[in-house]
Amino acid sequence: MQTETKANVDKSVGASGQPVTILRFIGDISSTSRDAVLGTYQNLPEADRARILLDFSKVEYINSSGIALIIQMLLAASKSDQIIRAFGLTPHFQKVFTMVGITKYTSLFPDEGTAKASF
Amino acid sequence: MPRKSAFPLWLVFLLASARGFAAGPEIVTELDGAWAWQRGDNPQWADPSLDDSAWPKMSAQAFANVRPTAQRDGIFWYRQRVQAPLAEDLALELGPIDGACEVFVNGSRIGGIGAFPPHAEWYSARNLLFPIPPGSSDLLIAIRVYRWKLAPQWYSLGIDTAQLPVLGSESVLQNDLALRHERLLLRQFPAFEIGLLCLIVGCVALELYRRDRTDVQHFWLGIAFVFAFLDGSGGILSVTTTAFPVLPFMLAATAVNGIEQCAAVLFLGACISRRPPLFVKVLGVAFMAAIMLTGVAFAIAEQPLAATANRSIDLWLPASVILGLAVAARTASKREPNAPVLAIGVTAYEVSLVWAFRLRQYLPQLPATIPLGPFEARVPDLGTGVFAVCMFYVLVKRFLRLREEREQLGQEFEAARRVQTLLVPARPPETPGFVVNADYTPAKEVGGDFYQILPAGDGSVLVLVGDVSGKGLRAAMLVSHIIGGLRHEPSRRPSEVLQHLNTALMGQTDGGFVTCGCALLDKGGCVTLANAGHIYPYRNGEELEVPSGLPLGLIANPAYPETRIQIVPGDRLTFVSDGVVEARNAKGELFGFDRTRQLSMQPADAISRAAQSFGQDDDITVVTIAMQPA
Repeated sequence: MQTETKANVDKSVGASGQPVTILRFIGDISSTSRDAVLGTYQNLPEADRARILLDFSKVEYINSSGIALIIQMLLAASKSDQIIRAFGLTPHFQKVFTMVGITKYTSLFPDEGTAKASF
Repeated sequence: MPRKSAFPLWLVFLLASARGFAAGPEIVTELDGAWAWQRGDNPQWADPSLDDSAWPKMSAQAFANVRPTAQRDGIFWYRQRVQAPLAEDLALELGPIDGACEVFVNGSRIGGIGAFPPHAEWYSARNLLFPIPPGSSDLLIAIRVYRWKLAPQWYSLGIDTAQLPVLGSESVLQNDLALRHERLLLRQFPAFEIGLLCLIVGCVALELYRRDRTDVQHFWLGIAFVFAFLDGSGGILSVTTTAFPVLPFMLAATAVNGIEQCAAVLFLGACISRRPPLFVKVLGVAFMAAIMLTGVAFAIAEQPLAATANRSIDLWLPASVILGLAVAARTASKREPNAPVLAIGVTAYEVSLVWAFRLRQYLPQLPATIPLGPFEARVPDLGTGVFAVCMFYVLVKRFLRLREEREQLGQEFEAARRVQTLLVPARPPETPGFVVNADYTPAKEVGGDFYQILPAGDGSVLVLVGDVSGKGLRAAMLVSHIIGGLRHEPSRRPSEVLQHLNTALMGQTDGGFVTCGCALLDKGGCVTLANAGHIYPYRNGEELEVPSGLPLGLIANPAYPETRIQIVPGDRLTFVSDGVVEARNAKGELFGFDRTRQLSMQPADAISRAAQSFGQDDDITVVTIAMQPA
């Protein structure tokens, strides 16, 4: 049932004209997604980590181990004063993210356009 | 027991059949007179009245020694006039043929095999028997042969020159053929046994791979041996079957051999590292392609292509053998269990590979077969057999070790499950003033969910429901750590309990976390709630959106704000773990928050069963607590 996680990196520009790095996740996110989630984040050049947008629009399922990976990334970004925002989560996982307190470290947006406009 | 006794019976049967080896035909004439022959084709050449005196003649000796190097392909006719032996059931026996042939007696076609151009169909036939209709004793035998141009050299004119055509009683010839066939079968006995051993070793290796899919060494070894069995079976069939079409056989045989060699190379690569290096993959595929190309070249009878494929094998074969010997040397130098046996097996296989493909080509004095009593074994088969025996030994050892490890792991899981049973109560304790109902269903033998119901002398009840990210033994060990901490927890304030647990879990979660909902209910119905990232509880079927702090074990000193609510007798609180809301059906659909909320007034076990039947994916915990009237 579980599908392998893939992560693609795109570059864009926010409303302020500043560059934004978009991490687009595809597939389920679970304990086996460490390379796709943390590996992709850690391999970004330092300059590309200032503003990061997480795209979950092609993610159907995130289990607790997957959420743990996302929290680790958010905590690492928070320590380095990087800004991470997210969009594309289903209503179910928006609620889960809110429950586990992820929204203290990131803002959730309904779509890519509004998410990019926030930068 | 039946398997044990079947084999000797078969052997006895073969040995009994072999008694007739010495018996020779009684009414038989070998056609060793001068054969008139002609290259070309003309239907009139079957006519007994044709004057063939101008045709070149070939004595039996010359017939056996002809080794034409040019124009080896095409249609040949052979004619000979003979006096029939005194037999009522006369028949003509032709030796092995690679191509197509037709036999005429006194101008009438009495049989044939294969097809002639333009739709030629090449057959490889062993000994063919053609009954001759009764009639005149003066016979003109005409044989029309279409020779396959890539046939082995000894089939110089389309007919195996080592065996001259024979004329005689059909029953005698038939009996002689049957005896020779049995002798052939008997000779194949070692090849048959080695093939069977290859199949067994292949199946054992594939079973080991099925049990541990991370070990591709077993996968490639299994494929190599299963295809070695198919390869050997094809070889046995080719010498024991009366006739078979050459093209499909050649394509199938080289495809099977190519896959076998490729899998063997990839097995060697997997001995170097879990993922075979790229150069090994390239070598395996190139070797396979070269072998298959020879099959295609022979199938389409394209000599230059066959030569190219042959040269290509000359390139990849040494590389494969060097790799094998290097792996054998590297393995032998390691102090791993069974390393010497594995090294011996690989070395034997590589030697057999060289022998099979090339060695006898350059050293023809080397024997092709070795006699083993009444049997004989091809030297390459013996090499494969030694490899198979060695690998069988290694695999059985690994199989036993794996089973031992599994049993040990099972015992450890059972011990952990027993510990967890003691820590997570099967039945909630007595809670005067409150009715507590709980259900705990791990997804594996042990779970990462937990709950605790801790009543106190003042009539209050402290309730904790939590979930360790991940499942299995590691999560279960963390649960034990949490519950151990709770046993010594001095505070009953939810926010403090969570903070203390967080402190205890810092550095213990290995990148994961623990969600936990905590509620203190006093006997008057005042409920104090704090939440560390856990699923919100429900009150009387409605979700309670309590402020949430981060899960436990992530950051030092987080804040867990408290929320106070008042419940009255008859009110009910329901706590669930994410195994309920994230139960998934086969379509990937989640059980979700709405269904959970709608069921939240059901008994704990009913909520749990609903989630399980929807599709349990994680540990499931449900705790309900209802206030009783005073």
